[in-house]
Amino acid sequence: MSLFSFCKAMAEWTADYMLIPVFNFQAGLFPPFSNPAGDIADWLETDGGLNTLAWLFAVNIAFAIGMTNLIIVIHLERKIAARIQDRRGPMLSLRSFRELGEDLAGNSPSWRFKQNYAGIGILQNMADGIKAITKELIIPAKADKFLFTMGPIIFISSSVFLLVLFPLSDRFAASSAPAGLMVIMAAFSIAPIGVLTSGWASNNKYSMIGGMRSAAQLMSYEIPLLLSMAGVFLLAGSFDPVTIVEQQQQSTWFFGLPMWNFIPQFIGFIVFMICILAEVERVPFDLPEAEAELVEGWTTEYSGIRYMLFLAAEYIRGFAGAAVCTILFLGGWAGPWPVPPEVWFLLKVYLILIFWIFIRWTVPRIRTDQILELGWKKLLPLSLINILIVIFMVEIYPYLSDTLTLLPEVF
Amino acid sequence: MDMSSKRIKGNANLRRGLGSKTTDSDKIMEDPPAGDWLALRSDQLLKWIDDAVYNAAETTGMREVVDRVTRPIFNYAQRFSPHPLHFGIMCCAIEMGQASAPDHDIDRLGLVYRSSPRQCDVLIVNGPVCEKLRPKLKTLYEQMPEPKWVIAMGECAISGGPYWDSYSVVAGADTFMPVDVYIPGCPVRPEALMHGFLTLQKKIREKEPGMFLRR
Repeated sequence: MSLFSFCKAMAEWTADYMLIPVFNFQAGLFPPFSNPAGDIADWLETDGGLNTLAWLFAVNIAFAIGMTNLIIVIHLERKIAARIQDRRGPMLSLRSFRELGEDLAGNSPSWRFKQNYAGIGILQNMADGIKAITKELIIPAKADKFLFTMGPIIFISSSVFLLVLFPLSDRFAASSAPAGLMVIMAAFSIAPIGVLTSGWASNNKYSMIGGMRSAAQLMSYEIPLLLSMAGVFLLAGSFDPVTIVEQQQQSTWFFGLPMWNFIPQFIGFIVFMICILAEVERVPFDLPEAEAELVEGWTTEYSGIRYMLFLAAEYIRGFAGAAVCTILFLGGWAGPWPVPPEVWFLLKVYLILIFWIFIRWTVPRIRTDQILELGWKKLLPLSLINILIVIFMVEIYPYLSDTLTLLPEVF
Repeated sequence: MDMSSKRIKGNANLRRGLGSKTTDSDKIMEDPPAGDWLALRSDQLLKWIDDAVYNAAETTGMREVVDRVTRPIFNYAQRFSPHPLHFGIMCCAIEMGQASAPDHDIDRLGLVYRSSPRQCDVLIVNGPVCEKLRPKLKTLYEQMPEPKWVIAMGECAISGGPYWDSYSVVAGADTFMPVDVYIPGCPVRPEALMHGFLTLQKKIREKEPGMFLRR
């Protein structure tokens, strides 16, 4: 049973028992006048209406799963960073709810600092998020007000859009477009517009430099990124994530083990990992928001919930980037039987994310000229070499091997 | 400094608590300043709607009801995630760095040092403020978004410390900005800084209500 058929059943139940009676009741209230409620009830009985409702449910489920993962990723980042530096990280525990309960009930406050800080700290994200809602939203006096508010909307909506695009498995997909990965990369490349907009509209020199750096970096790393993906597309003959994962399962090597794409296309895998790291702006490619040189880069002037959503959107992009990497090179949701494929997919994604966190806390940031040099002079030729290897594998090697086996018969 | 009375603006009668007993409809829905609300600019209209909602919530007593639920939740979030400004003046800044190091891991309290004042809640004044620095520090304080707190860290920030009679050093940060927590010491130990943050937590819980509709 796939996610969509589950949502279709849910939509049918909702339409039959909740929506259509309500709309019909509304339509019957004023019979002499034309009422759209009756039309909506009729539309909900058709296949198109049910499909629309089912898509709404599916998208919401994918969004909820993505947001849950976002909280876990931010928590993992802070805790692993702390363990790498021999610290403990945030420790806000569930027992701090006792203070909240006291305040809600109006009892006299008690102080238990030691008990508040004796947990694993997953509540820290919640506290940060709610605090961001209560903060003042400042728009600088000389900023471009319209673009200043539009920049975060472009960046965050394009990032949240990514959540519903990649499938967790062949049955668990909110959207299954045949050109799925192309749509994901298109959504990835909307973000520089938002970054540049918010950097320019802040009317701040640091924001401006951060925005320009970000645009230069994202544009120059887009080319090797797409070229390294082209090898996978050539091998699978499709942009569809499901087809790509199936192709990786079908091609085998020693002992019948599946040959996932990171084995034949090792160069492409390395290039893709570096480029996606630059694409989601993580260390060592976090030049646009360098804390020491540019005061938080293009987010300098943003306060409150806008800044917190910027931060969240970056982690969403990181999660989506790791998911794309898993689909393309690590065999997607394929894995041994007893564990469900969705869990395999998330395990691989978290493996990549934890690898990125380790990189973040062990590697220093590189310079702007070095970053462009790496992109144009090293990664672009390497990705072209990768494509040549794949073309040899797909187009030339089969004919060549046929010819070689036929040679003894000819002579 | 009494912050709570400073924040509530608007109708003076409402501020004194008379509003909750009035049922006059004029008080609930005030006339727009330009006479005709259809002729207002969009920002004026938003401000008018804002005022109308606030006054309606205040007069009907809805604000107290909502606040009773949201205030503890918002207050919880505010006091458990203080983000201080990454700003160092003198030797207390070294101790501030040491507080983040493995021995005294201040990240346990949920502290994240941010470089931009727009993204901060707490300003730590850690050192003597000289006359040249004072306007910049004042600007930094004013650039921070509202609920914000100031910690005076060390003798120099409290009273000028050893430079109390210097011609160029300000005698304490509280001469030009409101200070919430004073941490004595020369320099302040990291443990004392952590205790200062816990004291700030205490103060936020007791004194600073996180209101839903704030003025």
